[in-house]
Amino acid sequence: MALIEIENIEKHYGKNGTNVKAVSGISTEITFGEFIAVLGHSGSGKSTLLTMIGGLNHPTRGNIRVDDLDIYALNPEQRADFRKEYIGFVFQAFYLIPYLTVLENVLIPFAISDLSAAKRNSRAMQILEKVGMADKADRLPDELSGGEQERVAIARALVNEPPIILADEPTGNLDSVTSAGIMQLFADLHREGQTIIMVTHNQENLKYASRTISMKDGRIDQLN
Amino acid sequence: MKLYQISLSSIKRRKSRLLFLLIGLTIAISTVIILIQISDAMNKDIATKLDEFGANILVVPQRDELSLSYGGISLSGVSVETKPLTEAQLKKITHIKNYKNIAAIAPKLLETTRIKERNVLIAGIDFDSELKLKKWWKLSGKKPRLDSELVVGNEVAKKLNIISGDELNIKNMRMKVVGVLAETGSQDDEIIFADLKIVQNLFDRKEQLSLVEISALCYDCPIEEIVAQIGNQMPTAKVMAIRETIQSKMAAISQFENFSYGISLVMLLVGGLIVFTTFSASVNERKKEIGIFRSIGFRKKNILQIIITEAVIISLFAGILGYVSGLVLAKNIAGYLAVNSTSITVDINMLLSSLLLSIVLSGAASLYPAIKAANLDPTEAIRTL
Repeated sequence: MALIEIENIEKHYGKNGTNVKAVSGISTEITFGEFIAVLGHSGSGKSTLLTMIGGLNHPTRGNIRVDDLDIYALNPEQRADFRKEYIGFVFQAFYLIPYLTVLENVLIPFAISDLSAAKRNSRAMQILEKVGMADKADRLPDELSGGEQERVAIARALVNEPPIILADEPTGNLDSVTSAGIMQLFADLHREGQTIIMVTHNQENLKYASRTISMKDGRIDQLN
Repeated sequence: MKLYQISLSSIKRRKSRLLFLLIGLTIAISTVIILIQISDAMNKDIATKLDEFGANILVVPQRDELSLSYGGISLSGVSVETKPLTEAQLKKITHIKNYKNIAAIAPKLLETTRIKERNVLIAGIDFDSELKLKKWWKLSGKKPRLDSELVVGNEVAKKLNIISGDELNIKNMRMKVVGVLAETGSQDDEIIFADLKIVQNLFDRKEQLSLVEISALCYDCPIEEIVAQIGNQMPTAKVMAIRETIQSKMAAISQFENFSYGISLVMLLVGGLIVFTTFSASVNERKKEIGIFRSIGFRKKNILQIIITEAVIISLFAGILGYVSGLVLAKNIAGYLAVNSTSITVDINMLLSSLLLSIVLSGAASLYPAIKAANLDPTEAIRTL
């Protein structure tokens, strides 16, 4: 059964007549446990597609259903709840909160949940252990290397155990050795059954994915 | 990790940015505290020095006729008191609502008597309350302690050749002059003062009074109000306000108070503006951060909570700092203005008010930037790569 159903979605940007079609008519289905790589050059619409799946970016046309839920039929606050429940974002620029420690950054999703403090902390430490960052839990983000920051960002995306991880160029800012480590982490998560959708322009990363969607000019170019 | 902990960490690790905000708010609160404390001290100062201004309320018996005297010249020696004033009536003053505002009550019984072949006015008074009311009285000699002791006014002493130590015969009672009043320039110079009870007995007017001088001050209600309250308790007496005494000083204080309110308002506006601009700038700086929170699933109200909590925490500090610095400065300024500063003390209600003021001010001023932040489009925030 499909976890994500994308039905003929379009996204137009621009105002005052300058209308740019970032995504023009994409339909596809993604099932549980898939590791999808969305490949494309910059401007191909792949990041737009990702934010639309994540409930952050309203499509101009079409529907996205996640777990049978039409996410753009929800109001913005319900959509926030949907993100909390279903989505873990990992961004290219790491996007850690600079004034929170590694552990605090990972704990952010729990700030809006009812879990007890003890459970939150043990869960956060467990996930930091998994990404190999437990020993740096008290550091601030600017004391970490790029690869370490990315690991923390992945830990934060995972801590809530969301069914879907959306990663936007997770290795975009990293050297090849560090990139390989991060990709290995994603591959391990995938092996454990995690559904992952990763946007990348790096051919090297494709070997970790179970399926690749190639995009060009807002359309699906090729499915592998 | 709770929402308020995010706010706390944000403050803790970005101290320098918020320092200006803290200083600005503290100055605003501090100024308000200084102005309130100083004008309050001025009011209390007046209240404690009240008796130095003399009586400002006069109680006399009701008279049937119109007054036949003008400018101290009496055209008729007779005026019949329909209902004489009594001490029992006077005791009712203790029941009035603003009794605590009454500083001194000086009852008097006036009679005429003949001494050394001349008519003299004799006043039965309570020496303690009279001296409290008339701080300007200077006695050469001593204050009477026995019932048979007298004080004479300056004019009386001169005209009748009386000195301290003389004995006078009043209504067949031998009384000793123990003090002579220095010249006061008032009617007191022409009066012989004796104990109230003795005069009442000698002239067979037990319990009766001719007039009562009262010194009262109420800085949150007009003197007319106290007059009305006394009038209600003593319906058969005539109660009058003597306006001139402290009215002008009160007017000066109320002008200063209005000035204080004006300045306070301006300071609070400036404080509010500082909060507003700081938080508006901070929201722009933190677009990305807000985008992350939203992408994680924070609702708009969660973003609102984080920002308002930050403002409130800072305002708590500003409230305490503002109160403490305001208090210290007010004490110094009061000394400089020659205002009695003993009334400027730590007052928990004042501290709470200053906290409340600070919180309401920065809460209100950060509300718009917080709403703006909550309504940021998360994709917009994330896309600023």
